[in-house]
Amino acid sequence: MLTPDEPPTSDVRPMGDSMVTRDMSDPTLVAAAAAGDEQAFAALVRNHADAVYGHALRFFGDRQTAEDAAQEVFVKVFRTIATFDGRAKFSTWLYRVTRNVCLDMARAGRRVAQPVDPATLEPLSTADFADDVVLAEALERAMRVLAPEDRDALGAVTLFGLSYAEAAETLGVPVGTVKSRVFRARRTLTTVLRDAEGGVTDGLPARN
Amino acid sequence: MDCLRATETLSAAHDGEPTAAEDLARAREHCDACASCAAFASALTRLDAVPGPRASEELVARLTALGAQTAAEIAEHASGATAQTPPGMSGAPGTAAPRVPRVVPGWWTPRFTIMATAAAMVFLAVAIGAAGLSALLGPQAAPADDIALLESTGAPGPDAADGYGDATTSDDGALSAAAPDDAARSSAPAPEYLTLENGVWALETPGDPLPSDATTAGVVTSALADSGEATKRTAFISADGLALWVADDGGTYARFARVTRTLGMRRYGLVSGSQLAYFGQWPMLPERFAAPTAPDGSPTFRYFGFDDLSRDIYVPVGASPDTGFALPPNMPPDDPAASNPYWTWWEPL
Repeated sequence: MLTPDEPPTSDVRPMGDSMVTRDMSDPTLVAAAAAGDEQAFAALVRNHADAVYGHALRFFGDRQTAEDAAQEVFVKVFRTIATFDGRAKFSTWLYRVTRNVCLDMARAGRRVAQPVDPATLEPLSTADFADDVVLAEALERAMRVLAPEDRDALGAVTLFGLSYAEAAETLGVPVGTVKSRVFRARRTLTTVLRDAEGGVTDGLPARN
Repeated sequence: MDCLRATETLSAAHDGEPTAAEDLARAREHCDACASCAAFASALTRLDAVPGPRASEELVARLTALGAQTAAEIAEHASGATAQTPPGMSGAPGTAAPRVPRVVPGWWTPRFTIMATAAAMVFLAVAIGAAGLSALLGPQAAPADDIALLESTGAPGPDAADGYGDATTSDDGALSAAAPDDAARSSAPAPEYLTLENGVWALETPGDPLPSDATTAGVVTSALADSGEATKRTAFISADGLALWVADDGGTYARFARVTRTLGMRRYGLVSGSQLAYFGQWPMLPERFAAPTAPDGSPTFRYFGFDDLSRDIYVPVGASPDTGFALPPNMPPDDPAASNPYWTWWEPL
């Protein structure tokens, strides 16, 4: 049975003899899931599905493959959740599994990540950028022109919420390298968006 | 502060990384005078405001269903364990390993059909070819020639043909070839390993200086070569326990790294049941484990799940990975146990 850390609130979702709140931390959810709490599994999915799917989508550039990869990731995580060592953050572990699954799928030839030529990005009008949906789509296309190692570092930090030190350990590179990669990715994104707009985006820094 | 430094500092601070207040102030000061960097700074906020990719409701529902199924299997396993547990002992449901169903992705079905068809055609062609060849050669095809060919390539003899038999030890203590089913891989030399109290270490840097904070770890027996005399050598270990310095014959030190892998972010070290006194010897299972006789690890092990490299892992029947796990032979090149023709055993560090 799962015991919530906090008093019941409107976010509490009782089910059977377990209760899961939105505020529960990952370690609590992982422990509950390892003990067989269905709602804890559901909460972990809700909390992390976007990050896993987002990484896979940026890796493969294809929604169907990204969904297959996300499913594979959660199968692996659920299968071994009882072995998770709480000394590391759950999101760090999840990021590592996600990255490995994507790499394994690519190596196995099940799907190949296709690079995108920045020149093929369709120009958007400045007015379009008021629309978050349009901007989000442009950003996702821009993500695909990033160097894979830069995209990996940016995803670790922005999708999975890893610190530079955690990302560095997972990627096996120094912290300074993560810092450079994240910065490089951001600079490229702003540059690509500026180019997509026709070069008139607020004087963003030019591509080196 | 130049543009590169300023924007890099702003980017790190934006991610909540510790940044010196003085550096941040100088970066902002730079932005006041530089339109390009100011635009970058504002773009950081703007990029954050853009919604990222969202998993579809259908995908979330599918993943939630997977979780529900896993929870049910854990509960089922726990109740079974409780029923079999003697009075006064807990069932430890948290250590149960759920059997999560492998859901076949949509793209797999047509490929499976094609591969199955191709496999059937190849099998038919080989069968026809073998029958024709047999008819041509007649009964005089000499088995002795086959054995000689096996020996010359280091391929397994009949007793070890399944790849799961025990390796044997020759009189001088070196391992002889009880090879697995993959002759090419089995003939690959092992990395430059040595053992310290059964833990396996791989050579990283010969002639490495001994750090002042290294402490004595014990004595290893190694020739530090693939032949010659194996002698006792003093070993020193790093504070984190993952680097080992061993005195070589030239008055310097060879640095070794512990061979490890992770499961649930927990680090496990490779353990060898035999002492590795020479480079080129493969670690093997500890003596307490009989070599599995089948690819699924039976009868010694049972399948458990995946480690962080997505490799299948196996545990002793009735046990959990808390005390260690095994990996099957012939892992791919990017694995810490790459090409080892034997089952390997990994214990938590």
